Amino acid sequence: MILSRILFRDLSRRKASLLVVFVFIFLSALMAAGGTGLISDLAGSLRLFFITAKAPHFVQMHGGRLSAAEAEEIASWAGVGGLVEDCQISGMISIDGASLKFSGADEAETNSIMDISLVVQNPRFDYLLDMKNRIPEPARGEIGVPVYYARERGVRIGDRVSLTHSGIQRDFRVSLLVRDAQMNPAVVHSKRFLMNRADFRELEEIFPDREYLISFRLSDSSRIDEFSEAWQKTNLPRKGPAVDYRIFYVLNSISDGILAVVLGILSLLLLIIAVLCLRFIILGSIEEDYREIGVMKAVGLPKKTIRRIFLVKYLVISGLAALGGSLVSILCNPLLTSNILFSIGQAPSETSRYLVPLSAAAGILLFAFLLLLPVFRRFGAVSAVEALRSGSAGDASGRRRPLPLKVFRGINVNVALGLRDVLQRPRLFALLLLVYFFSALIILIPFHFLTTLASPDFISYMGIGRSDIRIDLRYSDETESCLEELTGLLKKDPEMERYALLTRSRYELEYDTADRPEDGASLVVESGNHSLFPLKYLEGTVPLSGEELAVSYLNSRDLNVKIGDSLVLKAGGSSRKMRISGIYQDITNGGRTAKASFNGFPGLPLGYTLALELAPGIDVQAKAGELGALLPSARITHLESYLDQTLGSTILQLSRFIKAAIAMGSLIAVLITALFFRMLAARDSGRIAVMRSIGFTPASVRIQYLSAALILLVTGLAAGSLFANTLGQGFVGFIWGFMGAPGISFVIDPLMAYCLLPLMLAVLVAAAAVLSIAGSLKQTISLITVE
Amino acid sequence: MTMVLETQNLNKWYPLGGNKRTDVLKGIDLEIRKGEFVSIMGPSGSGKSTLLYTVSGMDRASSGRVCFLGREISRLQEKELSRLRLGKMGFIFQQIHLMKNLNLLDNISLPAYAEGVRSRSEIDHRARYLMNRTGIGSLARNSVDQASGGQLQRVGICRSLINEPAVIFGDEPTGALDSGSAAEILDILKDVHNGGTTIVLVTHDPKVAARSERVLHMLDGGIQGELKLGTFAGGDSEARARQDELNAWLSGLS
Repeated sequence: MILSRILFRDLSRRKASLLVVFVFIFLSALMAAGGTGLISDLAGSLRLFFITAKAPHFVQMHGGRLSAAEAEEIASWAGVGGLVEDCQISGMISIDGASLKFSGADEAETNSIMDISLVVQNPRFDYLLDMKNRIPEPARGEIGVPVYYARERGVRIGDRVSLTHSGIQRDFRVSLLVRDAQMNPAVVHSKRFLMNRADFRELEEIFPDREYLISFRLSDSSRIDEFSEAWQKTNLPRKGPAVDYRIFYVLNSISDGILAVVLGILSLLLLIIAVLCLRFIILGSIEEDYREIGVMKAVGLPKKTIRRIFLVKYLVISGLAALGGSLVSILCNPLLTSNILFSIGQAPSETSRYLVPLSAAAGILLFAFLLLLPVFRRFGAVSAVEALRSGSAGDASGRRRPLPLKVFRGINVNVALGLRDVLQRPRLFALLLLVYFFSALIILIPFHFLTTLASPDFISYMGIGRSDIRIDLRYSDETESCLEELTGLLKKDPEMERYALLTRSRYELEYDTADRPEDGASLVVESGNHSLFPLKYLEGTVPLSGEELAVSYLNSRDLNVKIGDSLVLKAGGSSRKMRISGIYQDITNGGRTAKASFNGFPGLPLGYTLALELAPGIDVQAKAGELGALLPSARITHLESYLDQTLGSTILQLSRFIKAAIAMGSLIAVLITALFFRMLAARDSGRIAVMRSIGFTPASVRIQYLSAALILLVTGLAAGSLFANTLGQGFVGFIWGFMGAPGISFVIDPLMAYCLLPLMLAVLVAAAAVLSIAGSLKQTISLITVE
Repeated sequence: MTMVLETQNLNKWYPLGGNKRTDVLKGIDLEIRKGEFVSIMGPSGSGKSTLLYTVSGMDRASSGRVCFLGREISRLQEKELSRLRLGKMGFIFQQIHLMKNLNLLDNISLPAYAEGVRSRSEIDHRARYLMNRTGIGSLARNSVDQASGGQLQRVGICRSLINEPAVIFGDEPTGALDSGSAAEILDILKDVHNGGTTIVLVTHDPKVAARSERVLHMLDGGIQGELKLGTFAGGDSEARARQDELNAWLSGLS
C-alpha cells in the first residue's frame, strides 16, 4: 500500500519528464514496428505477387524478328537437361513514345524514357495482373495500362489511349491497370500494355517493330546461375539484355525497401535517445530522492524493494509506450504500405502482420532495459547515513578545481558562465550533446540523401554521363543509314556544342585466369568516346584506348575483376583482350553494363545512343522537341525528364518523409532541451537564488543557460554533420551497393544544411530552454531561507 | 544625515487559501540613516528576516512603502530591483551561499562582472584588495571546498563590498560560525562600518547586536522597541558593557 502511494506520488511529481520518456519510447516503438511491419508486408506481398503472376526465372529480350525455326530451336534446347520447367516466347509490338497519347495529356509520350510494348496475356506464366491480382483479358477496344502511368501520369480506368503510326490512329479505352512482375518499377525503363488478341493482330499490321521476351521457368530456381551460363554458351537469338528473377525482386522493393531501412535507422536513433533520457531521469530521480532513499534504507527497506518502486514506474510507462507505438503502427500500416498496395497488391492478413510489429516493440523495450540495468545498480551506492546527513549525493563540480573566470576574457560574463558550466559539468551536459548529435543525424542523413537523389549529378549513378539530351535508337537494319544522316546534321548544327555516338553491343566473354567463372558469359558493352560526357568512377578512369574497358560495380563483383585485370571479348570470330580501366556505378536495369572506346570491333548490335550538349542559351526542351520531330523512331529525352521519370516518385515519397524527419529531429531536440533545462534549473535552484540575490537579473541568468544550450547545439550539429557526411554517407552507400551504387557521395545543399536548418533548430532550442527555466528565475535567497 | 532606508506602514502577508492569510510584517515604520549600524533582533518567527528581504527588494511588500536612497522600490520592476541590489546593496548570508563552481576570487568578483562598470583588471585588483584586507589574500584560487567556515564568511563579506554598496544587509552573518571566527567577522564588520558603509544586520546573538549603534527588537511582525547604544569604540570591556545594557533592555521587553 505504502509503496503504491510512493509510486503514485512520484508519478504525479514527475509528469513532464515521464511524458517525455513515454513519447520517445512510443516513437521508437512506432518506427521499429512500422519498419519491420513494412518489410514483413513487402516480403509477403512480393512473394504472393510473384507466385500469382508466375514470374519467370530468366528472361532474354530479343530485338527484331524471330523466326518459327528459331523459336523451335529455343524450345527444343529448353527441353534438354531437365533444368527448364517451361519455356515461353512472347511477341511484343514495340512502339515509340510519340505513337502513344493518353486522353488527359496535352501531347504524346514523345519524351518518355520508357520502351513501350504492346502484348497479349501470356498463356502459361509471366502473367500481367489486374488490381485484384487476377489474370485479365481485355475485351476488343480495351487496353490495360501499366500502374506506372497511373502513378506518374494519373491515368485512370475510363481514360482513352491513342496509338498512332504513319497517319493511322487507333483508340482504346483503359479498362484496367496492370501490374507487371518484371516491369512495374520506375527504374525499369520498359513497360508492357495489355491488349486484346484480335486488336493485337490488327496492330501488328500497323506497327512494324518487334521484340520478343524469351522466358524460362526453372524446375529449381536456385540453379539460376547454372542456367544462365548454359544459355550464354548457346548461339540462340539474344539481341538484348537478359535478367533473372532476383533482379525483379530487388527492383520491385527499392522504394519501400529504402523507406523500411530509414524507419529502422530512425527507430534505433530514437531508442538511443530514449535510453539516454531514461538514464538521465533515473539518475536525477535518485539524486532528488537521495534523502528519501536514505530514509528507506535506514528504516530497513531492502534494496530490492526500493529498486522495485523506481523500476515499476519506468517499466509501466515504457511498456505502455511500446504497446501504444506498436498498436498505432498497425493502424498506420495502410499509410506506409500504400505504395505496395498499389503496385503489387497486399498479401492477405496474416498473424505475422500483427506479431512482427508487436515483437519489434517488445524488442525495443527489452533492449532499453538491458541498457539501463547498470543505472539501477546505483541504488546500492546510496549510503543511508550520508543521505540523511547531507541530503544529496554531492556535486561533482566541487571535486575539481573551478576554471577561473579570467580564462574567458573578452566574453560577456553570462555567456562565459554558461560555457564554464558546460566545461565544469561535462557528464551532465553529455546527454544534451548526444541528443543534438542524433537529431542532426535524423535530419541530415535523409536530407542529404534526398538532395543527392534530386541532383542532376545523380545521373552518374545510372551509368550515364551528364549531357543535355540523349537520343536512344534501337538497332535495326535502317538505323545505320539513319545515324549517318543524323550525325551529319549534328555536325552542321550551330546549336550543338558537341556530341558522342555510343554503340551498344553484346560480346561473349573469355577469361584468361583459372579462378574466374566459366567461359561463355556475355557482356553488353557501350563503346564510343566516353571522355566527352564522363561518369564519376568508383575506381580507375574512363576507358581511353581501344584495349581498355570500364565495368559497372555489379559486373565487377559478378565477374570478379578489379582494375588492371583482363577480360577477353569475343565477337564474330575475332577477340580482343581488354584491361579493366575503371569501375563505375549503375543502378538501372540490373546495373550490369560496361563501357569501352574501341572502333572496328563490332559485336552483336543492340542499339545506339547519342549524347548531346547544346550551346549555351539554347532551350533544351525545345531542341529535344525539334529532334523528336526529325527522328520519330528515336527516343529523345533531356536530363531533367530522364531523372524525373526514373526517380520522380521515389523523390516525392522521400521528400514527404524528409519533412517528417525534420519535424521529428526538431521535436526531439526541443523536448529533450525543455526536459533537461527544467531539471537542471531545479537542481541549480540554490545557485540561481544566490545570483538573483546579489543582483543578477532574470535575463542574465537566462543568457547563461541559453549560452550553454546553444554551445552544445552548435557542437552537436557540427559533429552530427561531420558524421552524416562521412559514416552516414558510407552507410547509405552500403545500402545502395546492393543496387549497384556503393559509392554514393552526398550532394549537399549548404544553404539548407548549414544555415537554415541549424538556424531553425537554434531558434526552437533557445525557445525551449528559455521557456523551461522561466519559472525558476524568480527565486531569491528569501524563498529558500527558512526563518 | 541622509536617509538610506525608510518604510511606512510596511505589511507583508502570505495567503493560505480561501480568505485566510498569515501576517508576517504588520505596519512597520522604519528609518535608517547613512552610516548607521543597525541590528534587528527578535525570536524565531518574529519577521526579522522577512523585513530584511523586503526592504532589500528580494521580496515584495504586500502593502506600504519602502524607500531606498529616496526612491520608492515597492513597485519597481524586477530588472530595476536587480540593478539596485547589484550596485547599491551588499548581502551577507548565514549560509554564506557561495557558488561552488567558482573559485573564491571569482565568487567575490561576480557582482562586479555582472554590473559591468569596471574593467576586468580593476575588478581583479579590487577583489584582491578586499581579500588581503580581510586576511584571506592567499586563498584566491581556492575552491569553496578548500576554505573554513570563517574564511568563507570573509569571502561573503568581500563579495558584498565589491561594488562599494550604500548598504550591507546581513542575515545572521555569524550564525554558522564558531566563537573565534564570529569575533573575527565582527571585527571586519566594524572596520567596514568605520569606512562609512551603512550596515543592517539581522541577528539573535546579543554579542553581535551589541556592536551596533541601534538595536530594533521585533515581535509578532512588529517593532516592539528600539535601543540606542551609540558608536562602538572597540575593546572587550566596552563590548561587555554594551552587551549587559542590551541584555537588560531585552529582559525588560519580555
